[in-house]
Amino acid sequence: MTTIIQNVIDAVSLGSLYALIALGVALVFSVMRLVNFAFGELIMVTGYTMLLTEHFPFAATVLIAIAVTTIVAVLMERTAFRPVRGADPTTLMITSFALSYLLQSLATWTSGPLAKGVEMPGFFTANISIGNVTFSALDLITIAVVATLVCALALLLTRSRYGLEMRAAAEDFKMARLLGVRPNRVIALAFAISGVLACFAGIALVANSGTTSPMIGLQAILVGFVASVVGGLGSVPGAAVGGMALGCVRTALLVTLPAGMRPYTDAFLYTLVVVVLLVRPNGLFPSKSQVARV
Amino acid sequence: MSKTIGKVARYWGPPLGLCGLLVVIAKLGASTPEFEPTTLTMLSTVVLVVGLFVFSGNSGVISFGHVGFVAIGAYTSALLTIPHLQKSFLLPDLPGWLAGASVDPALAALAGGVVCALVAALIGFPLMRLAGIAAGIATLAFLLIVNLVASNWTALTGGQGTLVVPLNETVNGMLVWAGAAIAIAWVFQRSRWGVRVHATRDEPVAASALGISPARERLRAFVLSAFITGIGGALYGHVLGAFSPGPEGSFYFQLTFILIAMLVIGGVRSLSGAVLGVIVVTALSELMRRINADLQQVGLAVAMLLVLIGRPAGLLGSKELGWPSWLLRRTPADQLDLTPKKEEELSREY
Repeated sequence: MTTIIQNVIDAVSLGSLYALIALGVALVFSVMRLVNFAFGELIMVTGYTMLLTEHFPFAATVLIAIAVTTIVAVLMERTAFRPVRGADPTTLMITSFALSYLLQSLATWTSGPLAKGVEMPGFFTANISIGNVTFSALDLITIAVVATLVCALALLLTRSRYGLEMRAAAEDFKMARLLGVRPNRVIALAFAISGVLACFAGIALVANSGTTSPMIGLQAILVGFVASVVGGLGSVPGAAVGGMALGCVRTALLVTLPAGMRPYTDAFLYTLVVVVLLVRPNGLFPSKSQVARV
Repeated sequence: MSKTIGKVARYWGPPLGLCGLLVVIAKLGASTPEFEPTTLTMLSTVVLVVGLFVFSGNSGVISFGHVGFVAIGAYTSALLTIPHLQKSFLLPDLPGWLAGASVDPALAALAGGVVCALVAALIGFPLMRLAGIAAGIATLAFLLIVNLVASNWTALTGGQGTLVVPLNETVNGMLVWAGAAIAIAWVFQRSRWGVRVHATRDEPVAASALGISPARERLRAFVLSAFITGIGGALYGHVLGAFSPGPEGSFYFQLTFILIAMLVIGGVRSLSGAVLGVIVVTALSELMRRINADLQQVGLAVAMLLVLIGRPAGLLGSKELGWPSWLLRRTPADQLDLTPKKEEELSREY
């Protein structure tokens, strides 16, 4: 029983981290049809900002990291993606691929290819025991923070004018423009929010490994990319569900696979993903704007 | 008679031009020993990018998974060419028939191509039903799986360690391989199958209405593309001399990025663009390396971004190199402009 509870907590924690990343990818995709590979490098920016400010009080580190990551996200849109806006999705995707490579090489150039240790406050590594079940504090913090963020995002999207504009832009960009939604503002806002989400994902990843490296975002963006496609690209709630599902399935595979097969966990996971895509090429919850009409 | 010669010359103009260009560059490069490794790498990369072009260029579906075929080709050839003695301590757990295998490098490269073509036929059968971003994800999943298997199947690949393979490629031999790859890609592109797969790229709805199945046409391109990429992978492995799997290894995002960058910079829709992209990017990174080795990758990424912003269709767009127009008598076919107008008609939605 105790192992089951622990496994469930692990699964939900991993799932919420994946959901966070998938939301960041899906939000930008929904408004401008861009699969942003460079989202992973936003996580990297968070990692290095935390490294530079590690001796500040933790709250200050977090605030500075949020500010820096959000600014980089908005700058990214302004410099690289605005000139190619409206190109076909493949061109956009390759542009983000190039940008991601650029930021990664810049990080390698300035601080070397190796991972660097980041000092984190002690409470992340603590364990909390209730009865004979032991939880890792990091898992619980991740779940709580992601739950708060998802609620805030849901409120923003459904209850505010900006959220309404963003959802309108996601559904039909041309129509939204005709009705007075400013394209630059709504896209910049989507990037800013995805920057905030990337920052929290980055903090969780750094807290988890205690290090930051130029490659820190790679695994994350793959997961986010896969989760948002499985959930249904263009659908924001779908991305959250896709991320959670991916995290839970991955934990389940880790627990149930025999020890000899464990290195291949991700191979099974991605095979499952391909199977899901074959059955539902537009993902589990396809957004209305993505279904091809002839 | 002269009409036939004209026809043949007209048909083979672009591939001959490309091969000529490669021969000149390779001979110039190989004349200084310092540039010989770069020349060999460039020629093996030509085979890889032409392989990628056969699928992505003709079908319009971007593949993030072709480096998986590069890895399969390289490992197949490695297993067939590493000398027996070396194999016994590099890969002690190899099954007997493989441990004793030692074949000619050219045959080993072909074997790499055949293994890749078989794998492509197997995975392409379901995957080719996908298009657009879903196809991108599915091919990416293939790359990740190949990488995991290469890192963990220790008996066959030596696991995470580095595999040392014989350095047995010559500039002349590589020129033959590159020329063959270009010729195959050209014949495919101009064949009935090529035209059909172009139709599924440019007008998927119209193509389906005419009874052309996108999945079947893409699968053909995919298998041929994997065959060429597998051969290229074998050659690339022998040019590297030593390679390893894993995220920091030889066959992962780094190589994926460079191959796609070459294809995109040259022009995804043109075979000449694919070859030109390799030449331009190789020259550029060689130049950067001389100025400042650390800036090589940064420079490459900036160059790619600039090309994407300035010329989203690549340097050549969908044009092919050919005879200068004053050499050719114009035929009615030339008056027809068959190049798709898609690039100019970017939706102005945003």
